[in-house]
Amino acid sequence: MSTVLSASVLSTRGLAKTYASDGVEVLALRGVDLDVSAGEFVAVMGPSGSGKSTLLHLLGGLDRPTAGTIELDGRPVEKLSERDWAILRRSRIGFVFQFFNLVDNLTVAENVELPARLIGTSARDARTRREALLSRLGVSARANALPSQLSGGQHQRVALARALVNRPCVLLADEPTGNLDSGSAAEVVSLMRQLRDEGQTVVLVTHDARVASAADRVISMRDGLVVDETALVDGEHPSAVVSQLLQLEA
Amino acid sequence: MRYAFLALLAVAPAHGYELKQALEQRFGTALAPLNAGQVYTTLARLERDGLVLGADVPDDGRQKRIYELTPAGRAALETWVATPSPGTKLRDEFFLKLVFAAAGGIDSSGAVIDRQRRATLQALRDVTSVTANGNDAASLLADGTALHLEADLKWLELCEQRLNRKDTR
Amino acid sequence: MSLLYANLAAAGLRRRRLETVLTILVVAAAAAALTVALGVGRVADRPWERTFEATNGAHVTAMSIDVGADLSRLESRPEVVDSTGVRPVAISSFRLEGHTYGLRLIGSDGDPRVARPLLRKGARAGSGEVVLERSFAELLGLRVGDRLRTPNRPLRVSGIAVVSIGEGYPASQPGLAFAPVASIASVAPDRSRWGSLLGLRLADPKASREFVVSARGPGYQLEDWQATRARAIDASRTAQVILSIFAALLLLAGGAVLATLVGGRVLARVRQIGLLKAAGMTPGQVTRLVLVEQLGPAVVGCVLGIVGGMAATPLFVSGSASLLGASETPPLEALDAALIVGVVLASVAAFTYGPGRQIGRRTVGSLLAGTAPRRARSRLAGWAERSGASLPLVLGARDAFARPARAVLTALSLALTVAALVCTLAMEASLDVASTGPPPTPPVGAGIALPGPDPVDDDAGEGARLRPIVYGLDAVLLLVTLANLLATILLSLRERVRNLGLLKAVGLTPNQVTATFLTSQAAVAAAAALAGLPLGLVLFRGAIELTGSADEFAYPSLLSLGVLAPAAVVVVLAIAAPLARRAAAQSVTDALRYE
Repeated sequence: MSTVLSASVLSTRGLAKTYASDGVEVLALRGVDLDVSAGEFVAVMGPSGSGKSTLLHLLGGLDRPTAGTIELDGRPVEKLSERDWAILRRSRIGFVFQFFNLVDNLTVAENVELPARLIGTSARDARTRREALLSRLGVSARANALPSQLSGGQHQRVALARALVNRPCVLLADEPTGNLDSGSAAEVVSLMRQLRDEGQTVVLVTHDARVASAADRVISMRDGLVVDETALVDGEHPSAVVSQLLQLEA
Repeated sequence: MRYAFLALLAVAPAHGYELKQALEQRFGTALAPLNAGQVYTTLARLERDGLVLGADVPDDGRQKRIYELTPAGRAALETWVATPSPGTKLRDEFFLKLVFAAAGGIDSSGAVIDRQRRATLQALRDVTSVTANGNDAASLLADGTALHLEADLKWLELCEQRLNRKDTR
Repeated sequence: MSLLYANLAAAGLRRRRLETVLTILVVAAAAAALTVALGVGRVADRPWERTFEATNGAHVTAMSIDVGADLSRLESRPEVVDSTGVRPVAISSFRLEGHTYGLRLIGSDGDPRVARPLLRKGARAGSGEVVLERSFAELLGLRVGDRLRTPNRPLRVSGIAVVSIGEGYPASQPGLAFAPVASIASVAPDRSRWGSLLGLRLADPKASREFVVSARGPGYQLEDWQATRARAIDASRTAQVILSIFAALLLLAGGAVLATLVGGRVLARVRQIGLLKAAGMTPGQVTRLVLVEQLGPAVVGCVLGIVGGMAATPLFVSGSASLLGASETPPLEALDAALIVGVVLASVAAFTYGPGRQIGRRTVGSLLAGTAPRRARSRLAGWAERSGASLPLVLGARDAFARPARAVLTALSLALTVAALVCTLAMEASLDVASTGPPPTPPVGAGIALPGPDPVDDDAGEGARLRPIVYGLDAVLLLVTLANLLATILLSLRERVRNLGLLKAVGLTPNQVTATFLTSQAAVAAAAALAGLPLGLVLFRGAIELTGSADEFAYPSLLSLGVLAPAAVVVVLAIAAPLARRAAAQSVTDALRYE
């Protein structure tokens, strides 16, 4: 079910992950082929236990696959050491988790600047970039707060800023609107769309259909496998069916 | 209901009373009780439209009319199955498709669900772009529509899970 | 309800196997420390008095260099209730490994009622045999069955005994031995050179000094038991103080260890306790559950520790007993074991109850938020950043004092460790002072000219004999403190697992993550070590002032102190490094899933 496009930023073949839990073998991922093109916004949907979070973690090198290959910008990465993955992540991958995104004894500003400092950006440049991102995400006022003092929505936005500070080639997000009310969720979604419009490649996992509907492509997973894939387009005008939906019945 | 009859006839020819019984058995209390008159009227219309063909067959000294599906009828049925249902009709129409598609050998239930899901996602996409426009009355209506579409998608996921469980048992 | 607690507790323990094993180990270390402390403390408790009672010592001792002197007059005085009878004393010598040593033989026919030598090994002397006094035999390495090559005839060592004397050998020379008069005659035939000895028991022991004054006469010297005791105590004072200090240090270390581990474990469970409360447990129930969970492993650890301590104690105690002139090493009775178990369990309960109750009262919300740090900056971190240190070091410096409660706990236990080590260094320094003891007392009845004092080395003095015991006790103390360090570091690491995982997700390599953790530990260790140095000196000073003999002790050199603090930090890092590496090598997913 793979459509190989040119300029594939991220691609996997036969990706699988099995882990043992309390003596029972769990096949979290059972062979996934995926291709993400540069500048594409991909959403992965599925019920819990479908393997979508596992897929995302493997794409970010946060865990090791049991089988299969992953290529980032044409380079095979599934066998990289922890160290090499860390160096890769710094500059090429931005990760947003569902919970617990920020180091709890650093301020918001320090959390966001951390990846920049890691790749050697000067303190001043890091600060400039941080200020721009926080301002864009609407959380500048909380720059000196500790993570424990932030609301859920603020936490996710700061996490997003941290993930974007080094302009990564791929942004991976695991349920970024999971803990948010619909208002904050809508904001995060429109932000994702803006990023994509600016050329950022985004892969996110979600169970929220609204979030998924904003993507270029929606992948449905179940029981560790991809069961369906669909591309969504922005029509010039809404279809006749939708027009009908949007009109009150006489 | 016409498509339900077509789907049942796709399995095998039958007469009116058998079709009525089959539907009542399938849906139980979910179906409002059919009266014989409705059934025969619908079958007559289908025959008039060339989708079914009736033939009188002697049976125990009485004449029974057996209906069978015509090629045109089959084509109409396939088209119906292959067309995603719009949101307002999802519950009734899509549900019928889901129940009968596999029985009638037309298509697998998984494929039916996948098709419907894609369409609903696209509809949601289209609706969301309206809400972004900011005109208050229209965008409020659009929000309401979007929520319904989200509910539809959740139902689709549920159908998939339940059917999947039945398949694997 | 109690079954529910037992089940919950058992489930909790099974899940955290490592922590349970750690608790057992640490409690065992603490219980062992207490056991050894008790044993050593017992031996050091009035050793001379106990020996005096056990040997039915003489309240007044009369010595004469003239065998013909009429000491028997003293026996008939009204204050006297019992006596050893007049006994002959002769001086001889023997050769051992190319050297000549003096020998003071005391006639011991019959079964003395007063001042009777207590046999520790072997049997009473028969014809041609001697019983040696314990300190004499131990220093020269003489054992039952050895033959002493006197100029006249060899004497077989039939036994080794303890007597109530002033200073032991080599402070008091020549060494003491007991033999039948016939044996003495065969070794020192010239009876004109013999002296005599008489031991008296008085009706009123307190009046011994007056007796000595009133019974004075020509031809003999009198010594009362209180003077002898003073000399004995004086001679063994260093040993006694050192052993008592050790006992106290072991108690302290044991207590610190328990407090750190138990208190720390409870702190680490904050989130879990929050979940229990959310599920409906009342504060009282939560406290009870935490208690049950801690007491289970504590009991096991206690038993192990007491068994281990009892096995180890004789190693220290037998050596000390000899130094202190203690007649026997009092065994550990059932009551003592019960006392230790009671103390340990009570401590565990106390250290659990306190934090447990405090946590039980907090709201669920604050518990689930965990021990989130409150302060954003610390001065140390500021320095680190300004100094331009690499990022992991800065992060580590930030993390070191971010959670004040944990940092204080860690620093305290480390400071106590360093303080204990300072005390041991001080005792090492004091041992050298003790080695240069007072000159030996002139031998009684020196009719025969000995070529000067026995060729016993300087380092055969009290200091030298104390050394192995001190080292042994040092080892016990070190083991206990190392167990404490290990537990503390492990708990610190567990608390940081998620943060470290997150740092890896952001792009720190495993080495950088390890460096971050090690920096945080080093910062706390350095602070603790620096605090521990003055703390140890103060503790030591207080202890020796209490004994009133501060002059006989020395303080550790500045050099040794200067080395100790960095050495402590290095040890902490050496323990922390492999643990940190292992944690850093974990995949991020596992780290973030960590509860």
